[in-house]
Amino acid sequence: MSVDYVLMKGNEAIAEAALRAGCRFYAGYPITPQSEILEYMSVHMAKRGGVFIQGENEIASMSMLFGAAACGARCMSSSSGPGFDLKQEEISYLSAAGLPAVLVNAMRYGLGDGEITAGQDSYWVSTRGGGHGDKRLLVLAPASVQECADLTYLAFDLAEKYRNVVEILSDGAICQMIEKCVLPEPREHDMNKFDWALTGKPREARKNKAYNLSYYMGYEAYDRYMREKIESMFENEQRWEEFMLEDAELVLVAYGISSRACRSAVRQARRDGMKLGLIRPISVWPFPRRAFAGVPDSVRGYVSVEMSITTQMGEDIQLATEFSKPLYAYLTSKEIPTVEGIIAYCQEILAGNIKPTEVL
Amino acid sequence: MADIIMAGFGGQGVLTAGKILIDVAAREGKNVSWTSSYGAEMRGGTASCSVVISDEEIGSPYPTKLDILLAMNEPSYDKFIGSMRDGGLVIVNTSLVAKSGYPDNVRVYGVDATDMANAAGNGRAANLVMLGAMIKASGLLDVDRFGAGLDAYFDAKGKNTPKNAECYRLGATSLREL
Amino acid sequence: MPVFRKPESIINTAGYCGGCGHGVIQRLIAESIEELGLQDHVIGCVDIACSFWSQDALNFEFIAGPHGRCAAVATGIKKVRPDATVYVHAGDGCSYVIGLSETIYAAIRDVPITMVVVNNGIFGMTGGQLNLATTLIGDKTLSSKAGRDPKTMGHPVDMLKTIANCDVAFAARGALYDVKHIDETKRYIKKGFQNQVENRGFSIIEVLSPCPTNWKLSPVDAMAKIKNETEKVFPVGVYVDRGGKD
Repeated sequence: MSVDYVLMKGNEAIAEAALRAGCRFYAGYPITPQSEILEYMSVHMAKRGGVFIQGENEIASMSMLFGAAACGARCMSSSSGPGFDLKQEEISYLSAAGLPAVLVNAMRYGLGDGEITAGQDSYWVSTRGGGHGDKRLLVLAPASVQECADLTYLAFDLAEKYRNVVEILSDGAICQMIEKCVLPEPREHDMNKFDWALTGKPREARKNKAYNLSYYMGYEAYDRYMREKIESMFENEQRWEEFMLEDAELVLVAYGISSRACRSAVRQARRDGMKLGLIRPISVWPFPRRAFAGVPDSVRGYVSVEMSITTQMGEDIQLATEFSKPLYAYLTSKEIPTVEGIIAYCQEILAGNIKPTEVL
Repeated sequence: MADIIMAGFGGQGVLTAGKILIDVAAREGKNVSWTSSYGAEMRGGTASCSVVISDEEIGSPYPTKLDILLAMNEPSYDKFIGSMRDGGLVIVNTSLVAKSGYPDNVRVYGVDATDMANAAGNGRAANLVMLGAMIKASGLLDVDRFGAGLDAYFDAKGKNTPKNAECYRLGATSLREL
Repeated sequence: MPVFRKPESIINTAGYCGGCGHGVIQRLIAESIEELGLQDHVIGCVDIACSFWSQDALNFEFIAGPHGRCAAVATGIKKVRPDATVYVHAGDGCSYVIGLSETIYAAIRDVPITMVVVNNGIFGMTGGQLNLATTLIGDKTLSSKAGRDPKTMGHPVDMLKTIANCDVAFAARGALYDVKHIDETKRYIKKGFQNQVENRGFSIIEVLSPCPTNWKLSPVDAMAKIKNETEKVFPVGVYVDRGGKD
């Protein structure tokens, strides 16, 4: 019997979708819980005629990627937590040179080496970070294996459309789980289609330089270009999913693995007579502010459900809601939130036993 | 709809048992999810995977209340027995688990999975004996169709042997209520 | 009668200081590329230090990435554009200090690129600080004002010996202090590009090069220092020539 789906891990879906999007360069360094991306690429990249390099570290891997991206190749690297920290330098350089690339960050718990199990504490570094300097990364947060494939496939198009780094913000649960996944159609990418890429051109041709765009554009034009690019991405790339918002009293806000428990909690709570709803950001930058414009008047507050120690996404919710409703944060840190825990927390809010969370 | 945990020592094949289960269930048209403990979570004796099988969209792939527990060793039984829903099903590997009594709110079946697999000359297939017992006792999927699916799973991996199906059959026919 | 011409790939002046060796090295690179007929398909990789000016001076496509990562950047380029001539022009701070790992691993991977390393014993672009790999014992810099003391700053290291531990195609050191040595350096650099044409593997050419500005010497005295002091620590010559391995 033939089937139209495959059963694969989130990591494998990301890697396979990247290959099907025409990614032909991968460089990375092993780190749990995303090493399967590197391992998958080591097996399958050469079969598609691409380049796989296990780098001596993340910085070198990203520098190799910088070179390949400048040549117009569709490029990917991946890491987690402390490994992703090491990529910050080149993210800044890629951004300065306007080079497209897709990076995967499979979040794990904790500061420093932390713990290899799932976490969601890289929200700040993903939505605010990317090294020093004014820029934004487009950050997409899959909540299923299917979305691991779909968003990775999309990421390469977005990276090229905006000449910007796109990050897939996965986590140790989403990237390790197996689900059904319908893979996208394979496509070929023409690395000679860009007018900015390095090809090694003949004498008479105009030569391209891959370096800070500001050096060639002039600072004023460059500043304007960057500002307009960021505005355009913010305007056009907000993605989210709404779930049972109508007549909701409390709206859960969660992405990635936390949003999965939230969906179950909304269903369960409504069976028990408590009116919960869910806004699931799919893009965490740009944060889907538009989603909050349409919430019903019945809403009494928002509950950010995150695997972090303090709320990281909370400030984005407050910006989106203009501080109009109380914000509560249900924070489970190293533990994956449970349906029972979410429901109990919401019951306490509605009973008036929990004060709003102050965003620090 | 079933929320399932399969647990045992590392090397007993509980992760593979879970993968076989979702493979066959998915072919039967079900939605499935599989998650596993990994790395540091696994230190201290138990490896486990959570499997959700459902006709509907799956929310949390990490069930906290279980319909089915497949316990291949005693630490696994001790760790997860308290998470069972009333009326849930527990399959224990009686080669390695010997309790003087079991809770009243669940149905418990035992099978000498390790001994039977060894006797069948397929010592690594205790997980398949357990699967046979679980499919039979739960009625989750048809016993024969699951057996065919199990063969297809190993055929696709290119490492099937008739002893796999034999161990599965042993499990499906040898379980006893405890 | 032969006419002495400037390579046509040189299209601009570069911002090097008077007496600097970078301009000579840049010219030797351009001459080698043109003599081998490669000038229509070149991607140069420079560091964001003194070698950066070369990307304004030469009529090639260029890339400048993070400081020190030239060998890795060039690796990425060569892997996806294997038909292009890919070379690195970078200093000893880039290649041997912050980017030593990148350089060594390009050698270990035996990536068929041509890497030209300018050994001037100092961090030039930032104004003349100590180079841990190449500053000579006793030399005064902005960050070793009493002179390099091996007790606290260690000894300079002959990195070509380190690289010779890897199975590379070619490793050699030249100097610029007289015509004979400039010619020899040119032969090494050209050999490095020839190896790339023949896909023979990683070629590295280090050049002992003067930095009169930061050494606080006249250009003539700077050349004399290389001949009398630097070359004693870093001998010129061929360290590895693997030859044909088809």
